[in-house]
Amino acid sequence: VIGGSGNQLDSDQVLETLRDRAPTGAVPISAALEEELARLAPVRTREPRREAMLFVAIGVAWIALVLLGMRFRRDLHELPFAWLVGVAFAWLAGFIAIVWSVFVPRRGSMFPRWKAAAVIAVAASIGFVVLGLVVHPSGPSSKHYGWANFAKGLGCLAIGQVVALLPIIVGARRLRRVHLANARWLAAAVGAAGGCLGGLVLHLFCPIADAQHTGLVHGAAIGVGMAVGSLIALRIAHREVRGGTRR
Amino acid sequence: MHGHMTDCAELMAAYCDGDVRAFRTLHGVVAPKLQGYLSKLTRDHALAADLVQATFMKVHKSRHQYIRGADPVAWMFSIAHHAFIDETRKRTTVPLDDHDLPTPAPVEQVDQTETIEAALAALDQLSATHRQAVVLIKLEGRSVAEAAEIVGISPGAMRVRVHRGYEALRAALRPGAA
Repeated sequence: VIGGSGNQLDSDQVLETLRDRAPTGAVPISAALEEELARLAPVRTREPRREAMLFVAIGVAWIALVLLGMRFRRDLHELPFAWLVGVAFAWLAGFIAIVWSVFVPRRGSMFPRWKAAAVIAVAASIGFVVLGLVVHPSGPSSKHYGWANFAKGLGCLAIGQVVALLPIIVGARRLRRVHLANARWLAAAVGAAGGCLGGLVLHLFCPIADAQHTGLVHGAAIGVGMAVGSLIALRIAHREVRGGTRR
Repeated sequence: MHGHMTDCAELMAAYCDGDVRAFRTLHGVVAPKLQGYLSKLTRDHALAADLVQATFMKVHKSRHQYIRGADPVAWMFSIAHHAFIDETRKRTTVPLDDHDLPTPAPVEQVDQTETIEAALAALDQLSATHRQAVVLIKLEGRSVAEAAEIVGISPGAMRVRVHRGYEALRAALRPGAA
């Protein structure tokens, strides 16, 4: 490319030339925006930590309500206490970590941590499957379906997603106040957060204790939650904000 | 840069509290930056001006999303960026005219205009994603992390894009390439 002086331009000169261009003058405010400004009212700005904590509280309250309404697994007292509590804590920690990543940006930033949320969601969805396949203690009252009756246990998937649905809807409604860059990942992460609660309920409710069921059905709650979240959470989030910066 | 961000954050907070003057000041600071950014992407001054107006309308309607203390400029760049993407999806090609050329001193006008035309032509040979990366980082002075957030990719991917964009620019400027 030959510049005005007749010399060959190099890439640094090109960038320097463009950087040094005369700055654009004053940009007028459109008439439509002036109309809006004429009736400017104070708005309540986002408080991400408060929003996240409220969402976590709603999730925990929902789980407590669900567990109150259904019977705990019949082999509960026969299982190792550390495993029972540890895995329950892991499901809950997954939920909180994902919610925090989606709703609380880095200090000084407006952007949700979609990548962290996506990484945690994917890692958790794989991790709980592996954990279930590898560690699945049972007692005399536990059920074992194995591969032969694997399909009989698939109802647990549906139970997990029914439990996940409320957190997904609540999370999707909260996404309306989030600047949605990489919205698909954020929606999937909200689904994964719901899936964590679904998995927690299954962990405390379902007495089927074989590796296949614990890993591939209970553990799949997050993966299926991600799919459900990416399908429905964005629709819910978009319903209110039309023409926004949604991706 | 940090002081500037703080000022903009304070202006944005005051605007959210209902202060119109704060909005006007913020608009005066940010709108020319957005205009410059969008002009380099679209190569169409009128289209860039429309996108700036659309961006500020979206900012106004989304101001409840603002987090006090956060940098509103990167957020506005992101809204502008997505407004540009929406527009390019509507159009098959972005027109290439040079309404955005500056008005330099008369003595140097011919030389400088030709140089800028040449520079813009070189930039125009980059793919859209490489151009966005080069414009944001090399021309608008945003950091890699900020540019990544604006575009909605990871910092690593942005680093790759700007490097490849710079390499593509060098390739476009090699003798016989233009």
